[in-house]
Amino acid sequence: MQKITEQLKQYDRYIRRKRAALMAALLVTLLAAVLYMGIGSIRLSPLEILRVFFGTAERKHTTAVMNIRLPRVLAAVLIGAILAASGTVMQCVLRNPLASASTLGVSQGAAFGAALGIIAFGGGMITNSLSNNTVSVSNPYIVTLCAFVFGSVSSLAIIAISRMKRGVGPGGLVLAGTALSAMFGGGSTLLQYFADDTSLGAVVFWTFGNLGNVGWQDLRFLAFVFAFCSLFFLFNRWNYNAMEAGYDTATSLGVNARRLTLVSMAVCSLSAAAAVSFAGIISFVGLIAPHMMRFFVGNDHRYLIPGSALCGSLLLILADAAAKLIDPPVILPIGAIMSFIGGPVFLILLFRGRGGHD
Amino acid sequence: MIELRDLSFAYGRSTAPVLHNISFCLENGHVGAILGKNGAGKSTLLKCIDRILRPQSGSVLVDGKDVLSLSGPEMARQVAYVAQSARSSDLSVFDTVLLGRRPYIRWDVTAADREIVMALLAQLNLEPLMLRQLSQLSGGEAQKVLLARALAQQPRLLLLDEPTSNLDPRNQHEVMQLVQKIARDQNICVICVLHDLNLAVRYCDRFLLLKDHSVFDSGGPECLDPSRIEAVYDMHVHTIDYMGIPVIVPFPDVKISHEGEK
Repeated sequence: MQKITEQLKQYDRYIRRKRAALMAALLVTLLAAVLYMGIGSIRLSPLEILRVFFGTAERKHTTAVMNIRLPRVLAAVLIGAILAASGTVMQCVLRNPLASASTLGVSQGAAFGAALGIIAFGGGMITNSLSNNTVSVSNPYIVTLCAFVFGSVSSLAIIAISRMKRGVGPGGLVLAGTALSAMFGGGSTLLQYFADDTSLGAVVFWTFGNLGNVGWQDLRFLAFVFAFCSLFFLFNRWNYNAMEAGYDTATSLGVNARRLTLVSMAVCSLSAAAAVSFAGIISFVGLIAPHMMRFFVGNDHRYLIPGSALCGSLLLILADAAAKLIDPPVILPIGAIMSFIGGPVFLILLFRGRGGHD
Repeated sequence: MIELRDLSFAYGRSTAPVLHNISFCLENGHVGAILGKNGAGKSTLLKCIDRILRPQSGSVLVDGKDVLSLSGPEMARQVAYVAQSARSSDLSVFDTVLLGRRPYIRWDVTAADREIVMALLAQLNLEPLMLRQLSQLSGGEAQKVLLARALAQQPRLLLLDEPTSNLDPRNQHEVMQLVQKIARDQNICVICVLHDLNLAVRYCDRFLLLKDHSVFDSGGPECLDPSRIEAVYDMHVHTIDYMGIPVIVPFPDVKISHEGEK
C-alpha cells in the first residue's frame, strides 16, 4: 500500500507538470493580452491598462481600451480558442493531423457566403476608418449570417460525406474538404466576376480577416459558442483519448465512436463557422495550435484541448499585434499575417516530426 | 461462462456471410482459441462478440445475460477487447491503462480508479514503465500494457486478437502464460485468435475451428488431432509428444489428396 501511494505521487508529479504548462500558457496569454491593449495610436503601459480596469485612468485611455482594444483582444481570444479547440478535436476524430476548419472547407464556405451576402444583399461601401480610407462591409449582420450559413453548409457536406456507406476514410475527408474549398473558391470567384468595384473591394476586405468588426454584441454570441463547445469537448475528453487508441478500441471501451465523430464534427464545424463568420478567413490557427501544444502536454486531451485553446488565443493576439505594429497606423489583415506566420511554423513542426499522429 | 449462439454476420445484405451460425461455449477460468486459415472470419468473430461489428443474428451470453442488447459502457464492463494492431500512442503507460476505466468514469477518475490501475501495473510488473509513452515500449511490453488496459475494465470476458503477433518466442510464451494465469486467477473467460497451433495447444483449454466461415469443429484438445488440422489448414501435420508437451509439426510441402492420402 505504501509503495502504491508513493508511485501514485510520482504520477501526480507527472500530471502537475502538464497542469503547470497550462498555467504558463494562461499567464503568457494574459500578459500578451495586456501588452496588446497598450498598442495603438495612444501607447499605454501595462500599469495604465490596469488603471483603466480599476476605473482610475484618463477618460481617453478608458475610451480607447473599452471601446476598441478590449473588444478586439477578446475577439482574438475567443476566435483563436474556438478555432484551435475545434482543430484539436477534428484532428482526433478524423485521425488526421491536417484536419482543421480551413482544410475541411468550412472557412472557404463561409467566405463564399460572405461574398454572396455582400454582393447580393448588403454591398460594400467606402468608409473612413480611424487609420485610413478603406472599403468596408455596410451590412455586417447579413454578411455574417450568410457566412455562417455557408460555413455550416460546408460542414454538413463534410459530415454527409463522412456518413456515406462507401466512406472515404479519415484521410479522404481532408481531400473532400479540398474539393469543397475549390468549389466554394470557384463560386466566390464567379460572384466577384459579376460584382461592381465597391462590392468587389468589400469581398476582398472581408476575406483578409479583421478582428475590428467584432462588437460587444458579437462577443456575447462568440462567448456563448465558446462556452458551449468547450463544455462539449471537455465532457468528451476521455472519449477523445479512447479514439486516439483506434476506432475498435474506442468502441470496446464503451464509446459510440461513430456518433461521437458525427456530433463532434458538427460542433467543431458550426463553432468554427460562427468564429470565421465574424472575423473573416483566419487560416492555420486550428491547424498549428494543437501541434504546438503537443510539445508541452502530449496527446492527452484532458490537457491538449484547453492548452490548444490558450495557444490559439495567444497566436491570434500575437498575429494581430504584428498586424498593428508592422506599418502603423495601417492595420494589416490578420488573415494574411496568420498565414504568413503559420505556414513556416507548420513546416517546422512537420520536419521536427512531432505531428502527433501517424 | 460465455455462450455464443448462432452468430451470423455479413458486411452487406447482398454479400456472402463472413460468419454463418457460429456457436461456442467456454467455462469461466478457461482460455479458448479461435483457429482457422486467414480470411476464415476469426477476427470478425471477435469483433461481433464485442459488438464492434453488429451481428445480423445470434446472441452472446455472458453468465447467462445477453450482452448484445446492453449500452456501450455496460457492455464494456462485461467484455474487453485487445485489437490485433494497436495504434501507437504518446499517452503514458499509466494513462493508457487508466483509459480502461472509461466505462466507469462519469466526469473524472476517482481515487479507486487510480488504485485499480496501480495494482494492475504491479501485477504485470509494469510499474517501472508507468510514465513512459506507449510508443517507446517494446512489442512485449506494449502487449502487456494493452492487456492491463483491458483488465482495468474488470470484464467477465476478455477477447484477444492475435496477442502474440509481432512478439519474439520468449515474449509469446510470457504473454500466453500471463493470459492463462489471468483466466484462472480472476475466473474469467478469455478467447484468443491464434495462428500458432503450438501456443494454442499448450495454453488453451477449448478450441473453435473455423472453415469456410462456419464452425468446422469445437471442443477440447481432441479437436487438434492431425486429420482435423489438415482439413482446416489444407496442410499435412504430425503431432509428437516431447516430454509430455504436444508439438504440432507442419509439413506444408506435402500434398494432401481429397481422400486424405499423402
